[in-house]
Amino acid sequence: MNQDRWKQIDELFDAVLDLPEAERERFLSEKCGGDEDLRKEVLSLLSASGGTDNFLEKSAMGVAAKNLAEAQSNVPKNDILGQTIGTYKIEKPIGAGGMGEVYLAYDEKLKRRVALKILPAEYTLSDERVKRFELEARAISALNHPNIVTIYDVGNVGNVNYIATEFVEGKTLRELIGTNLKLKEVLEIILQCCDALSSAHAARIIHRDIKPENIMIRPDGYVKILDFGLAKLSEIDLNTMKNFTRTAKGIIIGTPAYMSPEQVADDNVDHRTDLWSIGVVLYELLTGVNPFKKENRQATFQAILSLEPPLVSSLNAEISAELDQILVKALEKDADLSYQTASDIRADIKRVKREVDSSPSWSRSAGNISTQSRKDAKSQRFFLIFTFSFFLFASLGIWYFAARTKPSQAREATEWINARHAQLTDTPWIEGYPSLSPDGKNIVFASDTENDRNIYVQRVGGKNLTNLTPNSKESDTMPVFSPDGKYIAFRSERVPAGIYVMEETGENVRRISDTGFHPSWTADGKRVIVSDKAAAIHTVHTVPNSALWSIDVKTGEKQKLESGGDAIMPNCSPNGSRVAFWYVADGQLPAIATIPTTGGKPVVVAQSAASDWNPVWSHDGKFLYFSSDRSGSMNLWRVALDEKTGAQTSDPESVTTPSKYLRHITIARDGKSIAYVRYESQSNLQAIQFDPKTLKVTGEAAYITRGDREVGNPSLAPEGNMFVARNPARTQEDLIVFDKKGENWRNLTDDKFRERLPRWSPDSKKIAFHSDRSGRFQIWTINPDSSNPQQLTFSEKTAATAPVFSPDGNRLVFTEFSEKAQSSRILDLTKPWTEQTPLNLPPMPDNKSYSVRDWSKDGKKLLYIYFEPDGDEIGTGIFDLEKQTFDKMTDNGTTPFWLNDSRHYIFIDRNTIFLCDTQTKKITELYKPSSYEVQQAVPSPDNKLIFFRYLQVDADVWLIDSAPNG
Amino acid sequence: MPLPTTNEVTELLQKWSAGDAVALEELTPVIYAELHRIAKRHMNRERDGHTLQTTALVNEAYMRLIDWKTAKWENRAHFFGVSAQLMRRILVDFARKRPKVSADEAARQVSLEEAFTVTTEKDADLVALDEALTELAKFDERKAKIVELKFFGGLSVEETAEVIKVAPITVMREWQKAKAWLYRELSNAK
Repeated sequence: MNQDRWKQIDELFDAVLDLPEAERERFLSEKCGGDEDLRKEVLSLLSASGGTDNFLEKSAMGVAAKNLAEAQSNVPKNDILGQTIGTYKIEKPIGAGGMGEVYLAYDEKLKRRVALKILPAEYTLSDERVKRFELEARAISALNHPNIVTIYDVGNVGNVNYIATEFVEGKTLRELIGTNLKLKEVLEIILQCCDALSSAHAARIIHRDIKPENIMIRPDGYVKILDFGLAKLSEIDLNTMKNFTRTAKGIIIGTPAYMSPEQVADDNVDHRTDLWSIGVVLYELLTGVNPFKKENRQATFQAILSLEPPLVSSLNAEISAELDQILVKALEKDADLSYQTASDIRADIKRVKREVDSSPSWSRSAGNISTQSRKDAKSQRFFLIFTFSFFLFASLGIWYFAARTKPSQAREATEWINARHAQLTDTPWIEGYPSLSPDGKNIVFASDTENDRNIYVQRVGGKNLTNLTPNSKESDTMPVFSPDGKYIAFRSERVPAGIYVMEETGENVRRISDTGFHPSWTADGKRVIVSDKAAAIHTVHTVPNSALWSIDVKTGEKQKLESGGDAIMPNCSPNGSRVAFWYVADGQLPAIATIPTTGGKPVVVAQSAASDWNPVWSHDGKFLYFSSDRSGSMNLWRVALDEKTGAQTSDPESVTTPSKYLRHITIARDGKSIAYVRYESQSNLQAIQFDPKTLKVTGEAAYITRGDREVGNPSLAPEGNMFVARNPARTQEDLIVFDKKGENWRNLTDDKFRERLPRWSPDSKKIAFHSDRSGRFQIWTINPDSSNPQQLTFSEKTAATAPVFSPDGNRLVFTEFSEKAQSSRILDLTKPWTEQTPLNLPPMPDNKSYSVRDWSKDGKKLLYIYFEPDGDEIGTGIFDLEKQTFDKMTDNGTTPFWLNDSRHYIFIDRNTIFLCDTQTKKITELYKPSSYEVQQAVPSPDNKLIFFRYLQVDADVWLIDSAPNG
Repeated sequence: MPLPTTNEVTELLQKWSAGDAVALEELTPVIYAELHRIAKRHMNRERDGHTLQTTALVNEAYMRLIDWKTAKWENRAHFFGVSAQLMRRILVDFARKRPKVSADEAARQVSLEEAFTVTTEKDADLVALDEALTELAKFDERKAKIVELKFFGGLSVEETAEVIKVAPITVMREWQKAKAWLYRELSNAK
């Protein structure tokens, strides 16, 4: 455009703008005379001017940032859902993480859910940052710590860079700050964070961006730290930065209010920066406020560098001086004066937690409990607990934190507090029965391969497994090193089955006994002690008839040991005087006991209402280590005793490990390390369509629930909308309800008591279950909204379990345990316990016992599972209520459930759902999943679906090393 | 941190204004990083359902990068001018390099006309704007400069006035007219 012409236009435009709108047209025509182009030009500018209110009002920086934000958030959202990247099918967006968008995706190859983080497009494959991140990701995935989100895969497809990690269900700490977290919950969260950091730091990995957004709490109470190492990825490329690194790094790495002074000052940052950040997180959790967060970054940085935050106790009166001291130390500006390792913080927090656990004032925030008068104290307490649960749901939504009070006397075994926890095996198979060689350098264990179980040896710290039993086609398991480390005794199912001994190399295999499990060498290496029966996991009700035998390794000569009751999993003391074992005397709870190596009167130690099992002597014979759920989860404990007499000399102490289910303990001869199996299972509910006319399943199984919550024993309400199920979590075992889509999860019970086998009443108004809340397992009912809990049975036997309603809802059959026998009784629900003697069903012939599991719709027949006299579960049958007769239907199988025709039922046997026709006794296979395990199949009320529990198990060997540097 | 940052950025800007081309390369990643930070906050806010408080965000960004107010420059006006020019160059380059979105996304993208006529905040296509601004500068350098300072440089009316040595009221009027011209230009282009 010509400048003069423009000047003309511009001046006229200027003049017009000053006029009221009504006068503009006239003014323009006047001024322009006949210059129509001029008039049009000014008019068009004038009209454009009317639309410019929001035009360019944001600065270019804002526009660029917003465009970038849209490019990052919108593009994938529209394009990517339902698409497949590599083997990952994108299901839905789940948020934005440290870098880029995060999606829930399904790994179609490995059949698991993953969180897929898609990096912004400017991270190209050649990008140095991505390469560095890949390296670090590999290091992190090698950690495989339960409190660190596992990185499965870092890859690139087309132009898309992605990171696939474990999908964690739950809430971030950010979402939980301000909800009424209890002190012990806060401490537990920080403890788990310290575990994770300790392990990462040992591998020289620093998180650099610890903050509440990066800490997730699973519904089962497990803490998972996200985005390890990702902070580094967002670092600006150092090559470009040259002299400018200080500024560049400072701008993005870390979130201001959680940054350590050294991050702010940009001195060389080491692992202690994470310790500072965890201190800030703890402070915020306890007070609800971040101690350094100010209105802007500068002020925040200033505060981090110079502000001494007020003592936590000044903001929260219930905080102890000890916790104050921990925070003062954690938030010490001089990193050299602050905590040096995560284990140090952990140990200090642990001490505080012990105090808190034993102090009743912290157990419940009593102010929130509504008080309603109840006739007796017990039901009132019960009612309050439920009311509290409700309050909790109201304040936390569906989330809850499982906090089961540890017995106040529980102590932590001090020498293991700072131990390192390391995973030794990471096969997809189920490892079991590790045994450390006497020098602690090698470890043997049993593991499944494609077809059978074999015994493997691995160097501790190494990754290569050597199969010691490659030629055996049957299961070989329970290997144990001899005291001199030269031989391995084990159990084999090869023909002929029995206890075998081989050299440490797997050579010169020979059988020494035709019976026995769980071999344990005597101190002199001359004999092996075994039990008649095997126990892989603890079971609540039985240690089947089992005696101990002592076998001469050379001659095979065998003698039975007097043990005063059932004995299983023997373990010989290091100096040869006693044998410890898992012990059940008639009418007693399972316990741990010892007898002299030659047999004798058992001396019980550590007896409790919890499941204590798997005793193993310490190297010096001063302790028995064992597996116990006395703190809620099955973890490692020990009790001091006199090796000569077996007399207990102190209270049991806990050794905290990162496992929620620990079993198969082994201790090195030098006492410096312990190995065990960390057993992890994930169970979800699936459904498959069933046609009640053709009696066939159709289609493929679909998930009802998915995620980390354990779900078992599902029961769908007859009205068809709500499930109740068992939910064994990390520290508790409760009942949960959720809708038929697997959503709207809510705890029906939420306390330290154990609730099991829930069943809906036929009118869908109540749920019956058995619970130990009154001391022993008894039958209870509760409304679906957690109100009106009622104890129905007051059985004087060991336990009353497995409630099943009659179709009319007026009666309830349950199973009573006494010693080892089980019997069934029918309760009249129209009368209280005190006004009736529940009808005893007849005993089964041949000393078998049985437990009723379902009542036919026509009301005439009961379905039961029956047990051999030794307690082994064997098969299913029906009991005719009119004829009072037992009719065995199958020789195997469990969890039978009637179809509505009162003629067919379904049951589970060896990972398969079967159908049984009770008229013809014909058994048909209905469904067998291709992988994983199927359990507890239940037909829906209309019989058009079959629900079942889908179990995925992983078990790996872990090591606790008290001398990581030694 | 922010304080030293400001000084260093300022130093780089001075270098650049003195003709040191390397300074641009060193500054670019800093600005990009800042962009990412704001973009991330955008996304978070959108997720929270908050309306965008971009002005606040961006002002903070400029503040973090360049300590405009307290800088005591011998030639403050020159410095502002240089910084705005630099910012324009970096941001437009960024927009130009921005990964091209898919066809689907392109189809979804509202036309400029639509964008400028709806009342909600809509953003200019920085590349198109840059071209139009270059065109404007050919016959009205002052207006172009004002847009550069205010829009790309993030300066206030008063600061802009200081740089180009006119009264603030003039800046406002020139700004209004420049916007009208650019708006028309960009709408026609579509």
